[in-house]
Amino acid sequence: MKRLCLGAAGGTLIAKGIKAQTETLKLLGSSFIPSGTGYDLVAVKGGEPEVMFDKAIAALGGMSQFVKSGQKVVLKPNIGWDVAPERAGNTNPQLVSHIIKRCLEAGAAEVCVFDNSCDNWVKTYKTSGIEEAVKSAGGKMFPANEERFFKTVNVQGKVLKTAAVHELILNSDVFINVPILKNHGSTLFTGSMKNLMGVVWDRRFWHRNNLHQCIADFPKFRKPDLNVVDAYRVMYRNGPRGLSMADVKLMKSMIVSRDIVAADAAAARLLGLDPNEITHIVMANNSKIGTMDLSKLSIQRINI
Amino acid sequence: MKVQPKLRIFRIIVAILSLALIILAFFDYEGKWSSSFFRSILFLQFVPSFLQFVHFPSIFATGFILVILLTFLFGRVYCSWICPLGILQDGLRKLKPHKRKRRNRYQFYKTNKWLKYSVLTLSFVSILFGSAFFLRFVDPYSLFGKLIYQLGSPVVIGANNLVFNILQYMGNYSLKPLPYPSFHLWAFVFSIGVLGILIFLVFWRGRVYCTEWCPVGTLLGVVSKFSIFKLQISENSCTSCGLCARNCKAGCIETKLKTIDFERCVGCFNCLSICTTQAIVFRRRWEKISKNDLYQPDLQRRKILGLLIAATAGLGLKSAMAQTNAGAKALLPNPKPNPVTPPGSLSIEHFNNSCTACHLCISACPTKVLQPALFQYGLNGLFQPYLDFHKNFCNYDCVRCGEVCPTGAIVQLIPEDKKLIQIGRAHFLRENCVVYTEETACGACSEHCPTKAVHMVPYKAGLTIPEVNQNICVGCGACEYACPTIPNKAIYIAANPVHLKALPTEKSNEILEEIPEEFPF
Repeated sequence: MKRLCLGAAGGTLIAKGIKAQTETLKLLGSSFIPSGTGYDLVAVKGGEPEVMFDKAIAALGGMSQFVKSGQKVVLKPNIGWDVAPERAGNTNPQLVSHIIKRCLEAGAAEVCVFDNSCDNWVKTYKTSGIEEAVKSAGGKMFPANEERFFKTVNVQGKVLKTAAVHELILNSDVFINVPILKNHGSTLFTGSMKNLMGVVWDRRFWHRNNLHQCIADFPKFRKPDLNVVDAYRVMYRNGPRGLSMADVKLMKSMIVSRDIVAADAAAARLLGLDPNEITHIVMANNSKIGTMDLSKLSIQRINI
Repeated sequence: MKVQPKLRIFRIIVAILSLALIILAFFDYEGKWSSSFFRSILFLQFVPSFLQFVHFPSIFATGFILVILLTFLFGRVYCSWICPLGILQDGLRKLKPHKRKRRNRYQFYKTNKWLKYSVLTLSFVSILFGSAFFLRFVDPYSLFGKLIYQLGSPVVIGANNLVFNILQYMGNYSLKPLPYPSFHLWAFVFSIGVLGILIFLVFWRGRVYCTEWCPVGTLLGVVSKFSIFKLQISENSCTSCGLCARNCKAGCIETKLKTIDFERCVGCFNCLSICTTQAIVFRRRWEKISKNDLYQPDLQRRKILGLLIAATAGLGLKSAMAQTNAGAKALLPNPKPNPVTPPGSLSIEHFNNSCTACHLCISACPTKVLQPALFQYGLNGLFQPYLDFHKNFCNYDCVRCGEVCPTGAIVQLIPEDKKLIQIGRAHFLRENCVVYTEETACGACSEHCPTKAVHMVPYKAGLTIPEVNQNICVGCGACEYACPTIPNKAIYIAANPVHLKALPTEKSNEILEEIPEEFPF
């Protein structure tokens, strides 16, 4: 509550002089956490997933900025692989569970979770720990293993003209994208935009028809309302599936942003990559999906 | 004596239980049950147990010995109490419409020993020559398996999905939708044919399949000649009313002579409960009636049965010609001289020798990569499972098929061992690859590879292209499945006819802590 009051007082100020404000905030350090909707991106490090998420959301004005009472929320974590949470192949289940709780507290009517997985879906849902996490938090785990759950929509991208999208994305009021940051053999890294490959039915079409362009095209259809990049455990090599925990670093970080391109640009940097080298980030930036130039954004950096 | 009429009720309860457990085993789509549960349920199935004993003799493969002992005690009770196909036939008989309420449902018929001993001999010869081919068409358990998988599971899955849809409509997601089994025309035609023949035979003469054709029945029949307990007619009490013969589904009671051909008796004990004068008794062979009437063999009938089976086989042969690949375009083909066999099946030879194609592994396979073969193995492997990488790929951590296999055709493995078994090797066809033809990024194969045998190496500016290290490839087929090219794949698995070992990849259970000191932006 304290934070919200502070935020209300400084709200307009932030909106006007964002840059100056961030500079002063930086000086003040992490003990002073403002709120409101002024930040384009929040980066957090040093805490547990739940704590980092709460700090980041508070910095963005609280959960009520994203979820209104009675709304239907869909959460799209990465549940691609039949590997345990420690292998960092899938989004952290603690984080997923926590976001669901916060959504429900904010009055969400229901919170649904799904992913069109790469490994067998029954196994990935279970081994990732996400199925259990979702159910215990009061969310609903939804299947995405059959074409009938997907509806064809117009994307009007450069290459991707149409796509069969999971009906939950079409029917929900709020779309929260919760990718995990990973190294990737062909797209170099996987973050927010790449994670959306799991909301469509036919991924092979993307692979056949200029993968980077398709990844950059899809947000034209629907941008997530919020992107929460899980960088708690990060697979820094042999991605996206990884061989063992030797491929994983404990980075205890998180990037949260409304801007899917900004979130990916920051996440790429976290992985030690230059966003300019990641073709789909550049493409999405050029077609105005979002902003990859982090220097133009107001960023809140939080250390815990 | 009062216990004896109740044997029928007891038999019905045991039979329903046996059948239900086996059916449930075929519908365990989520892998909820342990391997030992499967092993216990299928322990007594004669042919699977025998085949396993031949290849891997152990205490766990002695179910068939137990059945022989059981037969030595009580006759062919296996056929009515344990055998799923036998119990199924009893169930099918209930479907027969009755025009009038009559009880003379069956009649005595003479047996054709020539036919049934030929089937038995052929089964043995087939096993001796190292092929389970013949058994695939006569073994009651695997015939039942094919029936339940091909015809039963679509119904069950349909019902499951219907309930799922209703629950989903009400906002409940507790049930999981299941994928329908892939349609395999000839396996389906075969199963429909078997079911049709069974229904015809059952309506016509009850358990004629069991008494005249089934090799297990014939073998146990021979044993039952020496059974300690036997069904006998006490000549003094018997009024030759013929009620028992009219209710004998094995057609083995000859009222006029007051004899029972115990070799054919399937142990249902209906006669015990139906006889009004308690003239039929189940007792020690040497008690009272010393003379066992075995009537003379007469060359007779049943040739129609052989004809029907031959007709089914003929239909299957025809499709050999229809199995050509249409519409091949400019892309390089994916030559597959051999089908890929499940991990744990050791080699194609071992697999052909010991698999009766009961389809239990196919129904248990969580990814549905296992599919019934047509002629991928040649005629010898008809309906045997193989890994179809166009349907899916073999889950790296999964050992389910070996856990459920009752014949030892797929040896049970622990996941750590399975991860080093090389069932095939990946072959990369650069000229088919999207990175080469379109010069755009892809890497779907490498993404899915669980060992990084398929990895991406620098290609032209900003692009990476797959490269294969066959030494660490396990042949799971994830790369082939994920490869987006059409009509052929740019990466495919060529089977190892004899499974090999893959080299291990570096593993660690420790995570390096590296929290960034400053954000790099």
